[in-house]
Amino acid sequence: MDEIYRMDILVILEFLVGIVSIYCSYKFLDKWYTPLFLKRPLNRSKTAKYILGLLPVVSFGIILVTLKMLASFDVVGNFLYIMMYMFLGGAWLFLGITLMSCIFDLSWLDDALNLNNTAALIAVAGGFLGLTLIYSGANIGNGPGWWCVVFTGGLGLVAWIILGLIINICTKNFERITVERDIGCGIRFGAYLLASGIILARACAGDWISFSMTVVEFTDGWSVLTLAGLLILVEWYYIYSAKSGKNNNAIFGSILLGIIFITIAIMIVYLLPPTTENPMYRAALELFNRSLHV
Amino acid sequence: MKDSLSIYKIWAPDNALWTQWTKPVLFTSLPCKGDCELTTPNADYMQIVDYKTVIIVDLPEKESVEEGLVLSRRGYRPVPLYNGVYGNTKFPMIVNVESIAEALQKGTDILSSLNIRADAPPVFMLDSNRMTGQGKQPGRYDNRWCIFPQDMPSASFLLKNGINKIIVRSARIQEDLSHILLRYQDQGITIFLCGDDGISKEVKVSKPSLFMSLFYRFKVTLGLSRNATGGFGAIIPEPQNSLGGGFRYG
Repeated sequence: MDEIYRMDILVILEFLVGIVSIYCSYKFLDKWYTPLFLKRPLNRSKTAKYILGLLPVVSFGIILVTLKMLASFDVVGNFLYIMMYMFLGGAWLFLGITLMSCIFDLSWLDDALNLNNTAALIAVAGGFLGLTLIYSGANIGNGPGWWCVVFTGGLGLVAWIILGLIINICTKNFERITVERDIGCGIRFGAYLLASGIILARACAGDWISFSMTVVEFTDGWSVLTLAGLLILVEWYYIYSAKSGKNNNAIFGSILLGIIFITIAIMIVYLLPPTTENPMYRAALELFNRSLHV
Repeated sequence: MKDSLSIYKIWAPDNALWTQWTKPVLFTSLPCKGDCELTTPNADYMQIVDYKTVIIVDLPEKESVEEGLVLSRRGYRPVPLYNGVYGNTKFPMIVNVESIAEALQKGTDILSSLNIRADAPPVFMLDSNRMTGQGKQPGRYDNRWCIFPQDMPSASFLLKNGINKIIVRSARIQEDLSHILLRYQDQGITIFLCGDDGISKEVKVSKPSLFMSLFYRFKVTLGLSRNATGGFGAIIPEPQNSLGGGFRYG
């Protein structure tokens, strides 16, 4: 009887999550596309409009492919579940982009669109795709319900934001992107946000065991710290170069560095052994078991 | 009568260095009249153009446009930074921007007759009444606005273009402007304040609250009403009406 009651509650919750996700996705798409379709004001860049307009399409495409090919066994072939997780993805992107505005002070609307800030546009685009990848990664593997996706994705999102803030404390990159409109910095940080999204997506992926085990398995994404450290060193170099008056080809160098960041991230994902075969995982598991016994 | 695009293009020509900071908001919906009379203030504090000095005119209503136009005759490039929408509705505006919009319209005749250099130093124009009035009053058009560091060139950009001095033509330095000026001051740019007496005095800008905070812009914009066409301006609905949340298109 208790089991049936529990199942009922889960179904109701799932239904509620679906409704809230549909509403949030609608609000997200409305807020995103309405300013893009307006002809006024007169100074909005068409390139920015096209790039921003394309981002949700690409993101929903990535999420759809993930859901149809790599998601939980009960989701892959189920149209209703796929739609629910697509809408949850819309809500996720809405939340992520809002957090980017209020925590990173990196606004797609104010900086990228209204102020025609190219540096911000590139950083926002990288951030948007990074958010998409984290959500897609959280959908990979078998799991009993939507809360697994939210929890694992939430871990990735929190790590992604904290690392962004640490980078900003060390390099003041948000100010350099939004106020100084440093395109090189925008390219490097945008590429980092995307690359860290790839690594964190890998950390979020996998079959669901429990909340605590998810945290342990999430440590697979430790390599994102290396990437963040690398970005900090690169930014220090560029800050030092600017102060000492060295004339760097910032754009070309930044594109190259961006490609290197993304390549490193892809290599890490490919070279990182599956969670259960990772020696770090075993060590963490032992540590976890010991702490339970203590 | 010129259309809004041609008026905007006169104020923000494609070849001018400072055009990227011109705000298009007030040009989006100009009042039809455009018959205001422009006076000619003295602006004695800057008789000839100084390529190392930027001027920020922060005066009420159309006075800032008038002062900007006088300085444009002396070789400065006027850059309108007005970010409050002209609310062409039955609801009264909290910040009356009608006279500014009309002055911008009227000023095109003067501006188009001048030959301002593409690299001329800028005179940034602000309305000192931008945050005057109580916000979010039901039944009113809330077009209060604020200037943020992102809306003006960075200190490094100014220094790169040979600017080392800023004159603020205003009775006082407002809180939002001090966020920008302190950044300039920290980078070695000297700030002068020129009040109604027309005498410029060097000032030290004091640190405003939430200076360099990541949450500053987000917190301030929460208290204002955004407009989907950029800038700020929206009808605040009466309690019995529902005009929805988020962006407003009034």
